[in-house]
Amino acid sequence: MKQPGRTRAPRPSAALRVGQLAAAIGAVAVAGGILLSYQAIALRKSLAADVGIHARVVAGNIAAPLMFRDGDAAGEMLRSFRPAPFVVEAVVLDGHGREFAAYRRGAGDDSRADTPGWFGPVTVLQPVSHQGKQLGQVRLVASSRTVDRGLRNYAMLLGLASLGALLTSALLTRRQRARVACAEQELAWLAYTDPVTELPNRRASQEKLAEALDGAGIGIRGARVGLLLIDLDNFKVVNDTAGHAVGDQLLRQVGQRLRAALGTEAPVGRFGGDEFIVIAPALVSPARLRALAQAVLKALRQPIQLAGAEVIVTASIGSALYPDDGGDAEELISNADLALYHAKGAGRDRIGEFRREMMLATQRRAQLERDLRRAIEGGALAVHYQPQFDCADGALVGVEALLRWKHPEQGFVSPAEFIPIAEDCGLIVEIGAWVLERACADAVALAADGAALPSVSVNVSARQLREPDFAATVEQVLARTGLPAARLELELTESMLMNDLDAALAFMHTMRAIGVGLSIDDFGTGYSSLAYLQKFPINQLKIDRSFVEPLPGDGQAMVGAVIALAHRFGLNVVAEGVERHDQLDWLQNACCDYVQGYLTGRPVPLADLQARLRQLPTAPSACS
Amino acid sequence: MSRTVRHVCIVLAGAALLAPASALAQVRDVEMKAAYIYNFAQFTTWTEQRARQPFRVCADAGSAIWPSLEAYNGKPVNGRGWSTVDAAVPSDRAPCDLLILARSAGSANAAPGMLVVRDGAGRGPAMITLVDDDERLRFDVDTREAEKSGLRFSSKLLRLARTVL
Repeated sequence: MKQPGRTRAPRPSAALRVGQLAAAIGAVAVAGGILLSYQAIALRKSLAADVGIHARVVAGNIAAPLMFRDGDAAGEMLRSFRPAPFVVEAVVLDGHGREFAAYRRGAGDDSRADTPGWFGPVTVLQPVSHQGKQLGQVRLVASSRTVDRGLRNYAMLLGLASLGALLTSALLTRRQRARVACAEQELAWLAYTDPVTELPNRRASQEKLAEALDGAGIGIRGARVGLLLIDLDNFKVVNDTAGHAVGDQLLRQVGQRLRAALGTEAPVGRFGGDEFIVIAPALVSPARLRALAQAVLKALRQPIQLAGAEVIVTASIGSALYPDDGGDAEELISNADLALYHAKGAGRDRIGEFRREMMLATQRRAQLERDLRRAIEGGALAVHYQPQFDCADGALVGVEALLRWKHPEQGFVSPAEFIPIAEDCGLIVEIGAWVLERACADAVALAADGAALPSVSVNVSARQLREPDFAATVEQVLARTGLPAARLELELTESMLMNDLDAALAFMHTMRAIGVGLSIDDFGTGYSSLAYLQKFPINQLKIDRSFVEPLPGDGQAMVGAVIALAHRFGLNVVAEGVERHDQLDWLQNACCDYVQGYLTGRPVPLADLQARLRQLPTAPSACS
Repeated sequence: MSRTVRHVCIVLAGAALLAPASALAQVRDVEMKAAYIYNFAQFTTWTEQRARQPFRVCADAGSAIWPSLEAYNGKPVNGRGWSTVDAAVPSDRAPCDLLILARSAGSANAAPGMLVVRDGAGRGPAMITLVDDDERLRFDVDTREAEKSGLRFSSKLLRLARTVL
């Protein structure tokens, strides 16, 4: 894992090395050019000066031969230039400009004439005079080959010196560069590795996934890339109870297990928190991805030794497949996440495979959430009331307030669908408060109509119960609407009470103290702990419709036992979902206190309820 | 025309052609000698300078070279004007700076500061002797004679000399 990724941008030190070399060569070239130019000028000047000196010497010595017209002596004197190879021509001109004596290299002797050279010949004219009288001129022509030669030697020397300097500097900087490269490697490792598990981190995993998708995109048709998102189910508990150090240790061990279970076929990375990511490039079939996920679950089921204790870690896995479940890395990850969410929702320690419906459901949820917000603002929510009757005398004893939402396009949306959405996004607090106020106000309105004031039941959500000032809200609503507290009954579920027992108890005692009734909704479906019947200050149980439905055939023993139990504890019993006469008959015989259902009355708007109240039905009584 | 006559004619014609040529060569010869003598003075150093006085060149007024020497009158020699004087006319006032002896002339009593040039190798000594060497005018130098009169020659002159004693 020390060498993550090969397709990343070249390391800066490599680019730097090339750049440095280019800069050094450039600098040497510029310096060399300047030095060579200067050297060329200096050499040519020096040659000209040399030739000038020679010309002056000749001019001084040639005066006498010129005066005595001694051509032999002059020629002999000029021949002294033979060993000086740069002199191409030496000519003595007399006072009339005629040639008096001359020496030309290559003419008449074995000396080789120099080629003119790159800079052309150097010509010097020097007057010959004796005692102030000009007698003639000496013309010396020199080849600039010496300049060429000097320049060439100088260039070679310069090249060698530059090479030596570059080599020396390269040797000196190599050590430093190695250190920089080492630091770069360290940085790359840090940037792409999770320090806790030493697995590739989120960034590295995302790049690896993109790389795998690229590979599958250009590769053979039918190539798939599998993606698993693994979330530890109980990591938070370990972290909170045993501390972060132990949590890190757990993550490390899980990482090692995953790596051992998946081998090189599917690299593992830590995606963040307690989430791991597995990328299976070049996957043969969807079944293979399932097998990999199974292997992960199996590997994690083995107990882990942690801080001297054995811990069993379970994980939920979301799996998604390219190209079936997503066209790019982002979509694939988000869909695997969705599948993971479903796996968690379905009870954890399992694999959730992505299906299109999940996305549709998610989209529908998001749409409903938006619509629900609009509905709250636009007043599209309504409260309907389902009557509850006394089994003994058929009198209407109360109504349950039920929320109804008429969607502008989809008609009535089931509360079973939109209530969980409202709970998830927190809208339930606002909605619940509104329903409470509406129901109380409507109950007061019913009484004002002349009818006897029934009690009104309002469902409370777990989320509302968690609001610290919920008790105060209830009291304020009662005060505002003028409904007597004894006429209000709050319906709670078992599960929401178990979440935070102390807070729930405190709330319930407060409510009972001011006279508000409390009932347990859906009794028999949750924990059904008999202990809380004694502990909770409640005054009513509601038998869930799932127990009422099979009556009077099956379920008699159960419902009968619940009724008896409740009565022993001094609680009233309400049977929900009464739809048939035989059910009603049985319940009346079993001395159930109240019934509620389509048989005795569907949920209706307030106006319908008011009309109904004016012609109350009477039910026969079987209990005394 | 007889053969003899013809021969004579040819000889006469040849003589007629040769005579002016040799006369011309002789003129050039003396001019060359005069130029040489003038140049000798240029390369000679007199120990005692007689400044502001003409440079007295003594020669036999009857010699062939006389006119050519006279042509140099007034020309500068070490800052003094060249002046040709007859050697036969004695002058106590000023001695000769340069004495030109004919080839046959006897040795002159060397006076200090007097450069003696002999035209042709003669019997007596001279500081510089003009000689015809293989159709070319050359000169010999006797530095010992010159030293006696306190004269020095430039090395440039010595280099051109045929012999140097």
